[in-house]
Amino acid sequence: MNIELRQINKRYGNTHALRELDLSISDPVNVLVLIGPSGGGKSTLMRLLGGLESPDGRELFFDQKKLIQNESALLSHRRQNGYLFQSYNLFPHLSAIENVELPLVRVHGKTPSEARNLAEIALAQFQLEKHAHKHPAQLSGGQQQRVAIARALAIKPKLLLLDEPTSALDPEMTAEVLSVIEELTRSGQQIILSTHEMGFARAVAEQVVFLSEGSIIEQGPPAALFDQAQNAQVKSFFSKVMRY
Amino acid sequence: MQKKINGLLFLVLGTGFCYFFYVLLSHDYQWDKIYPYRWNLLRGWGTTITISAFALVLSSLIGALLVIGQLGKSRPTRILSQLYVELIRSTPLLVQILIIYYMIAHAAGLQSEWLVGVLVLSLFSGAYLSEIFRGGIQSIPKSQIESARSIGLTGIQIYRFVIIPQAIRRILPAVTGQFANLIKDSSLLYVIGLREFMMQAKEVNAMTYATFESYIPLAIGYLILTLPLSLLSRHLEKRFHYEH
Repeated sequence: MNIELRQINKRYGNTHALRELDLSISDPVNVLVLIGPSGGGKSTLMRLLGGLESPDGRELFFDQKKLIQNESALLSHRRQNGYLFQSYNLFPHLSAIENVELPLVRVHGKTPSEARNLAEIALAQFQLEKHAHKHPAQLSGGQQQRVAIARALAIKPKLLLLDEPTSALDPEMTAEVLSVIEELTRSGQQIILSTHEMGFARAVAEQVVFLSEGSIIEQGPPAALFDQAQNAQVKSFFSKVMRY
Repeated sequence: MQKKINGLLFLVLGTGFCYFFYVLLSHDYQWDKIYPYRWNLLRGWGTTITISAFALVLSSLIGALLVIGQLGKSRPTRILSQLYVELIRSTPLLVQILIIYYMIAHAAGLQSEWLVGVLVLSLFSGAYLSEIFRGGIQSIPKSQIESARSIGLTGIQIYRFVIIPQAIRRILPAVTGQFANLIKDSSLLYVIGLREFMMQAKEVNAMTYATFESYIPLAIGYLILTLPLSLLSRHLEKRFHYEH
């Protein structure tokens, strides 16, 4: 993936969520993982990268192309990428397969039968065929997230953004969703993931970014960052989260 | 405490019902007195039904327009829509009927009581419906809008495919209840000389002095229209409850 951010700021009222943030990721990195304490700016950065929000001034580049911050440019940015939130991704009035079909038909111009076909393939990829006609309320949290991943992947996204995809799940469901994500990282899909699952981050990341108080504190390949963190704050974070 | 309240309630309601039925049953009915006027009553009932049916459609339309105005981006339209809703909800229907009929309709040269009746009912009920619609739309959680944006739906598509289908399920019980109110409220239209159900019953009573025989069919006539609606409303409420 090819992403460049230059001096990005984002304020919500008095909260300074991102401060003068610079980030440069280039090939061959395909899997970028954001870690760091809650409230450190992970979600805000994900939202900017996903085109769900605009930064205050300055610039975002994807493949050397500037992402223009107006609604139509952001809309087409969102249309070519997939995004997954912590929870409540699915529309409760639609069945699993209808959830997958909706963007295919309404956004990507597929005919209903093409969409049905693609949706069936996407659900089958995650062993969800037998849940295709259930509504979200009848699915477990892990199944809901897997359907949401299937929906995001069915459109063949350039980039898949996963914003703490397992934070609302119990350990068993977390494992179920993580194994799906791990599979994707091996398939060559470009992924940006923010997570509190440190072991998982280390296992799948090709590049890790540690965010705190709206700034990047440290960045590097997982082995370097996890084993030889330079920054005292990063070290103390790891010693706390790895203790148990 | 709960038991005492239950006991007291049973006693009060039970006595009330007994007394009511005693009065009803001990009356010396003379149905032959009103029999010659049966067609008057039926015609009135028919007028009530047609007026309510037209007002039901028109008030839904007015409610939809008002909610677009209230939630829209134009500030003047928003303020005017809100002002309208507050004015209608803060004055008695009877006052509105008199003002619209004797002042506005006369000034505009509108002579038909039937037309004014439909209009007043629609204007009145439309304001209440718009509040129900607004509540339904605003009850859809933000996460749904976020999710819809993330898959690349446009603003209008978000309303069409995500918000409105979910809102309709939620407001259906309240809307059904409002339609029952509309039918009952049409009984006030007798004050402008509209020959609907209430008016006909009053006339039959005036001609025959058979109060019980004139008004009991009136009550039954309204119950036939409203009871199915309120049963439907209860049924929908339960169904919605189980779905979530």
